[in-house]
Amino acid sequence: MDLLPNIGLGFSAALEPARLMACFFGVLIGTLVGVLPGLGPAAAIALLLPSTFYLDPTSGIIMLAGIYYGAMYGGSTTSILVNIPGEAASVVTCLDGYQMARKGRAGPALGISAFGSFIAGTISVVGLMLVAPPLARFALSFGPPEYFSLIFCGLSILIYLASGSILKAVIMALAGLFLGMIGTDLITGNLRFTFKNITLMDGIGMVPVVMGLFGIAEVLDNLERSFKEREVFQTSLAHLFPNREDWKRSLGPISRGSLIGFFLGILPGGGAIIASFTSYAVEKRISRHPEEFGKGAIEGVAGPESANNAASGGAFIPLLTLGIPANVVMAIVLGALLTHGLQPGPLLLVKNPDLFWGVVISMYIGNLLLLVLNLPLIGLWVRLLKIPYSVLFPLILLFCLIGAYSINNNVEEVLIMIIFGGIGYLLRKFDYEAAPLIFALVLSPLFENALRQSLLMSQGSFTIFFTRPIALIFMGIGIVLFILPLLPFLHRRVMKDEF
Amino acid sequence: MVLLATALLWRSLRKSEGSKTNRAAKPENLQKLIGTFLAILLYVPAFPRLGFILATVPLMIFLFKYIGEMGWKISLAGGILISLSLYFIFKVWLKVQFPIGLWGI
Repeated sequence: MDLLPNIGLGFSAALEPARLMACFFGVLIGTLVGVLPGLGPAAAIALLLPSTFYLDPTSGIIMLAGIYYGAMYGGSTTSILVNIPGEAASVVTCLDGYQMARKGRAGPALGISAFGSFIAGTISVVGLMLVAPPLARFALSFGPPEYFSLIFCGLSILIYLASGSILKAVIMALAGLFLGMIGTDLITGNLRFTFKNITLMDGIGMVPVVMGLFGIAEVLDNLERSFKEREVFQTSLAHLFPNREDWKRSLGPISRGSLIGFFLGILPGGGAIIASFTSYAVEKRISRHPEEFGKGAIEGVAGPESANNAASGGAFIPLLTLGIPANVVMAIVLGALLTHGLQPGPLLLVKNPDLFWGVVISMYIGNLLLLVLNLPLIGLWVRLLKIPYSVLFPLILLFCLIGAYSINNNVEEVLIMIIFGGIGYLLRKFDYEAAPLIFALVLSPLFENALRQSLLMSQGSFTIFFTRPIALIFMGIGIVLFILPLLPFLHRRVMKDEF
Repeated sequence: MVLLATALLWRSLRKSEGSKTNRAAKPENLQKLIGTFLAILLYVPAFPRLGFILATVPLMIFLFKYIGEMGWKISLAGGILISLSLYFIFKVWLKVQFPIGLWGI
């Protein structure tokens, strides 16, 4: 294993002043976004995506990664202090974190979530370093049929884990695939669904769609509610450092949470939200005093907070080694890599080792920055919560407008973004999840290419996906996941017919 | 494609019976929502014709004043300040090519 020279390469790439600045800004903006409710990590990354196009690819990805785990961290601060989760993955932290704050123990709660996040982030970066290279080597043997079945499997896991209705998730994924087909045919060069529009010939860009679905739609959704002052819980922020008793109770949850988070983070569709919920459930079950959970048990903060940070590290593994994003945020990062002309996948490690290792090491540095940045800045974040939404939303909208424009200096892309903003708002109203759509949209060129190349290889026979062992396994998992949710439905049908 | 489309249609038809979980928005908030949407929609043709500053200042003032319900002074100052500072950040610093509108700005 030539791990050490690679880590060295990573440090030399990540410690360049420009990269360090990118990492710092990413983490700072990420935390800010995590703190501000109503602006999730996906929206933040979508907002800032166009500005990273002016950086070199490595710095750009470092900054996006920083925003991602910074937001994970910032979300916990608002959960603990005001009982408002800044983003979905810190919903669980509210349960015990806010209770701790009410008992005047906001300091240790924030402290343990900072240290837990740091430890978990470190563990997941080490895991990433160990797991990614062998996985990438294994993936090098993948041909188009394997890729097709892998993407199929990824899509079905995402759909299976969708929080709402599975049918709706399928619809969204299919809609995403359709949107991905718009543009010039990859093999024959025919124009599809472009209506002779020049902008559409290049296909619908992922960035305007993401900015619309997450940025604009989020603002519209928030506007629907009346502006009212958010109540910030006044608490003493002294004693940030957890005491010895706290540490003793938290070490187990932190290490378990890190492992749970890391492995769930790798799975497509899972990511931080499921990781934090799982960790909470596990801690509650194995705790010797489960009755304290929900009333301010420090384990209930330490475990989930570690899990969601570890998950954000784990999520990079499928992206950087297979080119398959594990969640929406990773799908956006994939889009960013593609925009920079890089093809994520097993070859990334061979062709751009400085990017791969630079990003990995920067995540380690970013975790350290988060720790240093956040402990003294908690007071500032709390004050930020008092910014009224009426000041915030015009700024968010304007950033979206400029951002969408600056991708290609094309006003029509701004229009695409606004239309998707409207669509996104309606999707929210009818409880459709945007994640499968984005996922399918980003992957659809790869998906289609793999399908058509496979069919060229097999001269049009679909059996190619079932005769190659690796492809067969992925297809099998994918199909089983599609059938599983149908079982209870069919069962009910049969029961109904009998009576 | 035809297969996908029919499957989609069939599924959405099946589904439409069950989904009546809409949260009703207050009328005045809905008005704001539509107002905001129309305002940014209007921004699309205005931006290349008027240029960044002339298109952005009115948009920001409208959003602050009517949607955000702030006073005239704050709205005017906020709208102008934000537009100008973003103009400098994006055009002068990041060198984004904005369309040249009226008066060449």
